[in-house]
Amino acid sequence: MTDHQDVRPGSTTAAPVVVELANVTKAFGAVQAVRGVTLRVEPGQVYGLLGPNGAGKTTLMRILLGLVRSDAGTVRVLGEPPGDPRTLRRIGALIESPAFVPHLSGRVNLQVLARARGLPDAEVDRVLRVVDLEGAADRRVTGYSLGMRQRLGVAGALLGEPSLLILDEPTNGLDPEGTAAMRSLIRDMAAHATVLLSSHLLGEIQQVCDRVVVLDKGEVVAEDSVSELLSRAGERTVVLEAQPADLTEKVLKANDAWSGATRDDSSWRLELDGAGVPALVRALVEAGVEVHEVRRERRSLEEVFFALTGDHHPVRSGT
Amino acid sequence: MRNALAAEALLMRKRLAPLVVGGTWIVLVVAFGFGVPYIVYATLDPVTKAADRAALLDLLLPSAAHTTAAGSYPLFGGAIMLILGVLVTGPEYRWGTWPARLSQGPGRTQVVLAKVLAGAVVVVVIAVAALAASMVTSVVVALVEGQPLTWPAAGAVAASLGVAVFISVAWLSLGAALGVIFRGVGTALGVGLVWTLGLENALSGLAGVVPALEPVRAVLLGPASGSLVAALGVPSLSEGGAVGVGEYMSGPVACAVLLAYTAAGLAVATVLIRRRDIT
Ligand SMILES: Nc1ncnc2c1ncn2[C@@H]1O[C@H](COP(=O)(O)OP(=O)(O)OP(=O)(O)O)[C@@H](O)[C@H]1O
Ligand SMILES: [Mg+2]
Repeated sequence: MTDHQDVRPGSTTAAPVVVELANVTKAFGAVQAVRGVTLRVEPGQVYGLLGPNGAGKTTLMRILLGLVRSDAGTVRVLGEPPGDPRTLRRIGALIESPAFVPHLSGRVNLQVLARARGLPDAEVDRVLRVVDLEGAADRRVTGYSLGMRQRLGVAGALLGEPSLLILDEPTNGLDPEGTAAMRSLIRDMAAHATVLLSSHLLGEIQQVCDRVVVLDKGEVVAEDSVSELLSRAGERTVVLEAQPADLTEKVLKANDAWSGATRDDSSWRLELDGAGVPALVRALVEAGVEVHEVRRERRSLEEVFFALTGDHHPVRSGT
Repeated sequence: MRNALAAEALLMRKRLAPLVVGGTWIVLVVAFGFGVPYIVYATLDPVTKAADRAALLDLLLPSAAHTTAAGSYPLFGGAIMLILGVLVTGPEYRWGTWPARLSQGPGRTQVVLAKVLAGAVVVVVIAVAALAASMVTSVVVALVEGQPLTWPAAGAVAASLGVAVFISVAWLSLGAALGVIFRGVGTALGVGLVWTLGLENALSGLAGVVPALEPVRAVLLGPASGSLVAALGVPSLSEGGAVGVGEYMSGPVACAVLLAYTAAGLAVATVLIRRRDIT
């Protein structure tokens, strides 16, 4: 364990790895859904799977549950091969859009799942309270809104207080209020469980995850703590606003700050490391340039994501 | 396995399919086992057809209610139980609930077995209910016709019930396998019904004319069901009995064929669910 700061309090460093994948590969016919993925999820982490559509997030989660078998590589979940009956009982999962028997009530649907886990009906009542769905529990699932269905799916995943929660796009279909509620629920869960979360809502990952793996076309393109990923990607870019422009450019060229610089009116974006900034500012001031602003650019996870995946489609960033 | 069974039993209890299928079957047994023959009986000329009338009435009285009920199973009962079987496995594909079903703890084999077992319990309940409805109907016929209420031996009633359940479970198992093979209800029902009501009947009928087809008939589910019912003493259609009943093979052979279908249905469903990726 290297990143102690990423492990939530309550977990111990001696606990075994919760999820361990090594060179995992899966193809559906000609489609390579997962290509040589290696990753570890430590106990107590909220671990994000981030990637555009078709990146392989859902497939990876199905592999962890033993629903889909990998073609190659090794998979260990809670120390066992995936799909092991004893470990399945310790995993709660919501994969893709939640699926229920439509003409039965939310409560009965959960009771069926609870029986399969050997849990009493009281546990169903508890999880219905957690997701605030008691009022609608006896209505048929057909009449549920998308958000209600999503919450019922999360309730199903919470049955039996699992030690690993696998949530595939859990805020899908939720309104801003529901999204915020889900986010705080996930944080609560993280106190007792390890959470594996997928999303293309970057804001969501940024706000709730300790660590993130960025997937693209089935491959890992980055794997790091969220803070590390953010700072690493934004580290070298400095924005300078100064006047007059001619004079500023002359100083920049004389100070080796010119390579890679881009200009927009009287604002420049420079590639500079920490030590170079004070020297450059001194040179500018001594040359008689008016420095209006110097700031280090913090890129959002969204920009990092685009840079890493080479994907330029607009992706909604979480609110 | 206990958890898987508890889950599937609850699901079965809450679902509509068993009620609809069971209700339909009871109506069919009463209508075609008793109603239609009674209309035929009532319209036969009492003077010239006295013997036919008496034979027909005998089948509708309480003393024969159990065998008349069993006589409904070979053709339509089989089709109905096949539908029930398809409805045990097929809808989980439409609902998208297989992933949830198979990720709670119980293994894939256990879940499939629990589903079919829960279906088998429903089949027993349906068989008992259909028998009870037949008994009630026969009492009504006896009262209307002013016939004495003579009851069949308990052992004979139990044998009829056993045969009905045995036949039903074989068809149920086949239906459950079709639901898995075709990953849903529609195609499975289509193929199952065309096969049983169409192809099996055609083959069985042809075998009566073309002796070379007789070995083929001996491995068909419909003729096996008909032979087992015939072994109870139910007359075949040509003797005034029910459709699909006939001594195409001996009782023990018929039992073996039915058992083979039950086992094969379970095996195919289990193997496919175990091998496939569940998405
Ligand atoms: N059962 C399947 N049969 C065939 N191809 C599949 C199957 N499941 C997934 N795929 C393919 O595998 C790739 C990865 O799919 P996956 O659902 O894992 O992506 P994802 O990251 O979850 O995407 P999204 O964000 O859209 O949910 C896609 O190209 C998809 O078409
Ligand atoms: Mg997905």
